[in-house]
Amino acid sequence: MQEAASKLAHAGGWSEFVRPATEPTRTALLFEIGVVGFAILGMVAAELILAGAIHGTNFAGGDGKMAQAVILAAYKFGGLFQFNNINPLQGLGSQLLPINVWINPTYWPFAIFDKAQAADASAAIALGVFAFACYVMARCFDVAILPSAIAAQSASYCLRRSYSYCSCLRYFR
Amino acid sequence: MVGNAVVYAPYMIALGLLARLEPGSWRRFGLITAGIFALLFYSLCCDLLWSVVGAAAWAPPFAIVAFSPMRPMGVLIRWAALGCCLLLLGIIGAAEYIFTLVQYTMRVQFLAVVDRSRLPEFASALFFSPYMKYLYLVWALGWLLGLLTLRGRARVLVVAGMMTCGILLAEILLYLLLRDGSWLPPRPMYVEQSLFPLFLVSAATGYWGALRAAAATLRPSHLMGARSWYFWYKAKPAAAFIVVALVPAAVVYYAVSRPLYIADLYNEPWPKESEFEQFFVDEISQAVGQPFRGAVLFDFHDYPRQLTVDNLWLRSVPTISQYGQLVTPQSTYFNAAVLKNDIRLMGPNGFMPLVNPSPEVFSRVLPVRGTRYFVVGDHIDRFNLVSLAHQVGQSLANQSARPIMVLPQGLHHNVGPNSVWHVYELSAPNVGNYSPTEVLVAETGAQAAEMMIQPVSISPDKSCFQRRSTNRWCRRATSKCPGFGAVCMCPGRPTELLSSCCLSNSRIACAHGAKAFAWCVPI
Repeated sequence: MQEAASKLAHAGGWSEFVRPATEPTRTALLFEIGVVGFAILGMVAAELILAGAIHGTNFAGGDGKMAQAVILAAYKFGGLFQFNNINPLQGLGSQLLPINVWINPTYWPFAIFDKAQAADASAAIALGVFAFACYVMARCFDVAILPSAIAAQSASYCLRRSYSYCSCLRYFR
Repeated sequence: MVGNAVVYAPYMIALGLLARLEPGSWRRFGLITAGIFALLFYSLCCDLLWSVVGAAAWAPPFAIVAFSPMRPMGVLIRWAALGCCLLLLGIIGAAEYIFTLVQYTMRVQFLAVVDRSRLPEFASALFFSPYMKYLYLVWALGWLLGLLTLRGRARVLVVAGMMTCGILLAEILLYLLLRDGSWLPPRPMYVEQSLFPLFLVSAATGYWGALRAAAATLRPSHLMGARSWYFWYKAKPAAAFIVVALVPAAVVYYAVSRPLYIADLYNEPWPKESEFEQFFVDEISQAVGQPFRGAVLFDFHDYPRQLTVDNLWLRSVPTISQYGQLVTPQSTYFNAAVLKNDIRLMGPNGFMPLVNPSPEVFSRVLPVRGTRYFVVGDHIDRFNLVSLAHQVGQSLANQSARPIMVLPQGLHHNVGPNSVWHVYELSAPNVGNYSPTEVLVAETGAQAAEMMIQPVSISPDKSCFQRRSTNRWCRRATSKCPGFGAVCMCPGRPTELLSSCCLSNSRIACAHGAKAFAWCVPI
């Protein structure tokens, strides 16, 4: 384990002292999965705790509420795996916003939970998926495990909370 | 919207996969290309509109990575992979669907009219967030350090982040300077949001490079004894777990130690208008397998009303007004040409017929569009609409001889505890039971609109076509519903709209749940 960690933590063609991360061994892979799983699940858990402590930051405002209504309408009126539906609730014959509630995991909680809980669960799932994608991107560019994981955590968390706390971005709103 | 995270995530992974594509085996090329295609396709399937925004935002980093490193064979292979993905999207029809869906929106067809003001806050968070400039500075430093200390793919990531940021800044500048022209691409603000993870991860990579270089400088064995090295060697796995626990721990600490007032600072509860909601749920709420019973139209659109409308949508109560990116060109044209509404009021994402400036036409076409209830509330009357709306509502209620419901308004409207909604019921709304009696042909949309504006008197018992358009797509046909002299659009996807509404069996389309009868304008 330590040997694998040593290889991975300093990987990327630093010098002869370490071998690049692109030669994973089984132990190294397990170590990576362990660290990344811990990092992402830790973020998700922390997000759920935070959502419980600070209310109403997910699917907030008029847009967020409209999005909830559209999601629930898609589940109620759309056929299974159909996302190209006529809008049954708005306007004169336009299409329902083409959000796919069947394949986007962030919308699944709305099929199960009450809307307040679903909004928080949805944000937690989105955070996890987003962090994972950031991590994979960084790793594909040969960034080592630890900085990749930290960058993924930071990117997802900054985006997640920047609107509420810093008035920066409305990404996860 | 939260779901955007999953729409944008595939672009990040696809970019990473592209970076790993080098000349070598065809199997590897095929696998990576298939992976990139699957990711792009998944993103499109998740939410096509936001995926298009993501594609526009991530196009520059993809191009930069495709050119890096600048070895001819590698560049060719990476562009070939991207070309294959685009070709596949074309072959399976996804590209055509994207084009059709995007084109079939008022924000594209009437861009020159509904384009929003070029306010700086639509360009970048830099202009409204006091913190964003610090983020850019931190990123810039990270990129600089990365350029100095990194090699290989990690450096490509830093270059991609830095150059994409440069392109974004140029785009922001163009957006702000070209005030007179229309802006068809996604607003730079959305591009900035989409690229945020690229900027942050690439900057973090730069800092990592700098730290690594610093560690390499300080590493000589004379600075550290053998026992210390052994300690670090053993401690590394534990240290990795501790390091990745820092960010979650900080988040949890903040959650636990937050000031009390923060708990509900951002919490905007759903409106509480139980009597109002229940009334509409009982009267016109939609359900699968149930017939359409009419829709509700509010007198005006503002933020508190939008919350009320959201609340009704949540309960499956249909509204004539619409809020979303897919407002159709026809409904917008109808609003502008027939009702003479200023469509700029709702911007590119809304459809909202207002009683002003054509109250007579408004009240005549309202039932045709399926409106069963016209609702006027108490609110700050900035546009002098309330009294006129009440007059029209009263007139409509007199025609229907139905009582006017007075229901309490929610506190979120901020107009006092005694504010009320006046709910006027219309007579004979079109709930799919109108039949066409006559087809009139117009050469242009303006002529069709003029026909709809003029009152006509057609015998209500006249229930079949007198004249049919023989034009297969019926581009120049309009029709009129009995007694109202105005017609609207029929629900349908772009291709279906033309075929189902305009062919001679339009009556069937109406009978099957269309809110109003067909009206086609040149598309």
